[in-house]
Order: sequence, then C-alpha cells, then structure tokens
Amino acid sequence: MTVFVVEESPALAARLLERLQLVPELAVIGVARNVMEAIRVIPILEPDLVITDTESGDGGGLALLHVLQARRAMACRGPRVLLWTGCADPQRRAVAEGLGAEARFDKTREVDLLVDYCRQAAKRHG
Amino acid sequence: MDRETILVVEDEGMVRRFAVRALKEVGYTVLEAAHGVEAIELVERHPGPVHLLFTDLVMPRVSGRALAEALRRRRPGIRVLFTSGYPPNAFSEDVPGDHGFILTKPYEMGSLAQRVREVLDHFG
Repeated sequence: MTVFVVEESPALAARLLERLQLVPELAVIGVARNVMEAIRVIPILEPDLVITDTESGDGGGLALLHVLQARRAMACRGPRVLLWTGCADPQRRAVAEGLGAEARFDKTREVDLLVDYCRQAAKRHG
Repeated sequence: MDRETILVVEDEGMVRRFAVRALKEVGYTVLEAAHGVEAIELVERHPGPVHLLFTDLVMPRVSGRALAEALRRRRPGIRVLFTSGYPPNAFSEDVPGDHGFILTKPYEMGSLAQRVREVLDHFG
C-alpha cells in the first residue's frame, strides 16, 4: 500500500517516515512540506493513503481534505486519509471527518498507533 | 537532428549539475529538478516531449520509483534510467526488470551518455 505524507516539520516527517518504512506492507512514495504542494502532487502520484494534519502552517489542512473529497466524488476513487495532528479542537475534527478523514492520531503520543493502523490497513488492502 | 529531451532528477546538487552538463555536452535537451515534486511540476508545465527520466532511486521527497510510475501515467512512452549509490541487487523490488535500468554511482560522463543512449534505443 502506497502512502503519501503531508508534514511541514522536517523532523516530524523524518520521525514518521522512519517508522512507516519499517513496515514491509507500506511504501512511502512522497512527502509534501505544505498543503499546496500536496494538492498539486497527490493527484499525480495517486497514493492509496494520505497522512496529513488539519493544522498545516499555511492554513490549508482542511483545503486538502476538500480537494481529495471532490476528487473522490468525481472519479469515484481517491486515497484514504488519516489525520496526524496536534489539534484537539472537536469542531475541526468533526469537519475533517465529514470531509473523509477516517481516523485521527495525536502527533505527540500516538505515532505507534498510527503506524499500526497503517499496517492493518495495508494487510486488508492486499 | 533534434536530440531527445532528458529530465534529470537528483537531490545532490553537485551530482545533478554533473549529469546535466554531461548530457548537454552530447547534445540532449536537459530539464532538471532537485526532487520529485519539482520534477512533476516541471513535466506538467513542459509543452514538448520528455523522452527519458534519469532519476535517483532514493530521494527524500518522492521516491524515484514512484516518480517514474507517475510520469509514465502522464507521459506514456517515457523511458526511465535510475541511478543509485547502492548496488543494483539491493533494489530487486524497486526496479522491475522490464521497466527500468540502473546506472550505479559514481559514474563517468561517458558512461552516463552511453547508458542513456542504450535506454533510448532499447525502447525504439
């Protein structure tokens, strides 16, 4: 299963990639440093799964979810989306889930859970 | 005779400049990018054909293989030559035999030019 990560912090991205790359069922195919880059590149790379934050520095975290949802509606396909975020705002979370994010993981405490979720998803992906 | 257009993708600046110079010296039109995101955007904007992608296999933003697969969807017929500092047998899973060639680093200008020509001619 191919994975694309959207993360503005190089240190956090490296930490997550290091963990994801230990999972044989996962292939990290790209990392975007901001949402605008992700919006341009994700449709071309066509990952199975996107890991992103709704609180990206350029304020466009939810914009990415809107774009991915629109693509799913038009093309009847699109990547699954997981949130890896420090944002605890329940309203924002509800919006993100309404836009198709299927799970949320806390950046500071739940990287193991995120990686395990991805592993399980990859096994089901086949 | 118009020579082909080569896209060079390499995150190490010195290596990239070396490759670009080598290919320009033998007459190719060369596009260059420091990483896969830049390469994708460059190809999307480029109005003419891109005949061959010469890319590092292991890069920080977009893997060479993912880049090649994405560009093959956008530009069917584009040939691919990978490069890496790892030995070729380290990438048996990343480089399907029918769809990719590898040039191991470090390489000389002549070797690069020869390999590029071989890949271009191999697919006709």
